[in-house]
Amino acid sequence: MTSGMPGPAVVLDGLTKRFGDHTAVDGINITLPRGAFVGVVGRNGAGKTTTMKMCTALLPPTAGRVSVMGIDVWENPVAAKEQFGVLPETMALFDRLTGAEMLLYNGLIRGMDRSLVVERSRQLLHVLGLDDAASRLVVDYSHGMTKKVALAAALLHGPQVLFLDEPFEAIDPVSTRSIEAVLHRHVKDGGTVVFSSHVLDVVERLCDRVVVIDLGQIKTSGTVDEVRSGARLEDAFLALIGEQAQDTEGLSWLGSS
Amino acid sequence: MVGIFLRLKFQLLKNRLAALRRDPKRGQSAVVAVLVLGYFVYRYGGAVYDSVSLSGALPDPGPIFAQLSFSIVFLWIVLPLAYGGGRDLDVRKFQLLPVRPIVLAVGLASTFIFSPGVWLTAAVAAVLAAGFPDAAGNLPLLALSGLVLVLMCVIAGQVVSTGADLLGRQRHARDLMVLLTFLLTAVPVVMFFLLRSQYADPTGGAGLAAFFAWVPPAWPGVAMAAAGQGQAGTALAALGGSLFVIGLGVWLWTAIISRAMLAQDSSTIRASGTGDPFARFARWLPGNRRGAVAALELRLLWREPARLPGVIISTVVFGGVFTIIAAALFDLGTAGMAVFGVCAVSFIAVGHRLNEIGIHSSALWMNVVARGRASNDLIGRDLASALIDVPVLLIALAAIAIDRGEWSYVLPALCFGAASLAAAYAGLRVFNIKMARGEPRSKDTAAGQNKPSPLLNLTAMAVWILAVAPVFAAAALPATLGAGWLFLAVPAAVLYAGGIWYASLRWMGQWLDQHQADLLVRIESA
Repeated sequence: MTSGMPGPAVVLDGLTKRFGDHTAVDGINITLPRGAFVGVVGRNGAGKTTTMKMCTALLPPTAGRVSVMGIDVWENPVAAKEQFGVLPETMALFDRLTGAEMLLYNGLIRGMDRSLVVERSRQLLHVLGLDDAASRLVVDYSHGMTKKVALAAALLHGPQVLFLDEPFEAIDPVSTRSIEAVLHRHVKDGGTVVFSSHVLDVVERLCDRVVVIDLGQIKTSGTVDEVRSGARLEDAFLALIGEQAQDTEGLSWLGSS
Repeated sequence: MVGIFLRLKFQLLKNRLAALRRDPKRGQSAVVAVLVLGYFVYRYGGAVYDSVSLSGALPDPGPIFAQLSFSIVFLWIVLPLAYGGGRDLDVRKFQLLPVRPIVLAVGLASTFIFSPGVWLTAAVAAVLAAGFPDAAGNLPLLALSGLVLVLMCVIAGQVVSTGADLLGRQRHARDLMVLLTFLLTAVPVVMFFLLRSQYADPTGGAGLAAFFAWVPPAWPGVAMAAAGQGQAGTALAALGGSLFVIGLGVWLWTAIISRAMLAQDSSTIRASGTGDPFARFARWLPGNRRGAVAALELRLLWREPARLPGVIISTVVFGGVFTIIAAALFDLGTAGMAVFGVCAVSFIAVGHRLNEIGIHSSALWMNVVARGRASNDLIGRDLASALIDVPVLLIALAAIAIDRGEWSYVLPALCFGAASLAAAYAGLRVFNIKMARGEPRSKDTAAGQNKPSPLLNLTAMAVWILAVAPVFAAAALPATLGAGWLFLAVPAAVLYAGGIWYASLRWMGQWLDQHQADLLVRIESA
């Protein structure tokens, strides 16, 4: 799928992040090809979100480099930011704007023409099923609607690479399908998607490549088939990071009152 | 329940102290705090203490005590609206606790013993009481009166802050809150005209006693004055009235708590989202990053709960007071220069631009990941601010010019006013970036927004004073030495303001281009 295309989409070279004595991301090296649909999986606190933030100019790395479409994110941030779109997991939106206003704001601060922003916003809101919600405040949106409008904001300027942190978390199946359709279209048109998720079924269904992170390091990476080695991805994942024993003996009081 | 709340509050304070110990900038913060607070105490502490401590020794302390009591309670009403401060014990955090609202109210009220404002008010009450020649002889009633004053302040402050938060969250009810805020801002204006005769002749205020005696916030002061003079009957009557009002306040507060724990409305404006005036004229702003940021700031000013009432209070009450004082000061020199007092209008920017970056919390990521220069964001915020400040400046200028008949000085006054705005923007820009503090999102907490810590408020005020001082100095030259100095003072003020505005834009713009992610990390933790 990616052969013949010049250069990788994303390169992480010794990427490290320390918070005091704690090393959240420990020297990650990986190269992701253009046109790939990459799932980044790992336990809570494995370092997925921290890595995503460093890839998208939201968190300065302690050491190492990140380049997107050949442009160093931290040496040339202005040019690099044109190449990617971001959907962070935990960060807030300007939620006292309406959906349409938020997209207009997002387009204008990126230097886009107002009429182009309005046209693309209308199309994106339609595809994501937010036509009726365009004039409502984002603060009144449901969780799924908020994710979708944030995805629209990430797509608005037509980025080459999409970094999505937990885009399917707490999303209903209908919204999941509409988001999946948009992402598939992005990859089909030559774009690259890198998304983190706890939902391994979704990763298995959508992605052609998987990166497994644990304790700030890459445990393994490759195509989905290579990583799962004939088993279900969830089983392969648990085998990789070491499954914990499920001891519920001490909880005999649950449901007793 | 009281014990639980006290332990919880104590633990929260300990956590805050621990966070301060981990703060790499704690040294800078301490130095700023000492400098700012030290200056205000040094500059005004003695005069305030003297005037308060001498009140009890006046021949007829009744009117003064009534006014003081009214003013103190009034501050406890308007300050939560303008600068409420973060409340870590938000009633909505106790939604699932199986307790009645009155129990919750008592628990919350007990935590006031940790409030510096309560202790400051108690200290003022103690100094007032100690000022009576026979204070020792009337100690029990005096102490009780002082305690009732503190109680009334606390309950008034809680009713206002919790009530404003509740109104701010209810669709349409926020309009009522804005209207009430305007009515509150009329109080100092009415008091100014009522008390004007008293400034010229200290005995002129005697007739006001009858007026203030009917206003509940003055009753603790009436009780204190009567107690200090040994008039036990009058004191007990005023105390009884005060306690009745406090009881009403507690009932209202309990009702508000009860309702606040049910309130689930997130937004406060009509569903279309286009009903606010800022949304309308935001469409006329430039279709670029500067215009987009300006439009965002204006829209959020209207739509974030509690922001607009805070801005109204800080603009009309505090901005108005500063401007009137400045106009009076300039009037002491050469006649016809009071109009230069409009320089003080720039103070309103301290109110509505306070912590303007930290207020966005983690939502600022949208700007961080967007291609473009950060200096455009800074210009956009100045543009939004100017759209609010310049009309206020023009209105103040026209009002003073009409009142004093100083039309011939309007043009230089406009230049001084614009220069003071530009200088204020320059100073506040650096302050808002270097001292940005992340604030909780208004959807997540009842603390509202645009209500940072009192220290941050004082620091912002000190920054404003430093930034605009040269403009005031330039305006003072013609006011004291003669109108001929205008030819030198006006260009000097404009050059200074333009220079400092551009310099701070370049400095902060370049710093943000390199460190915007660091700033985001700093403010997103809230």
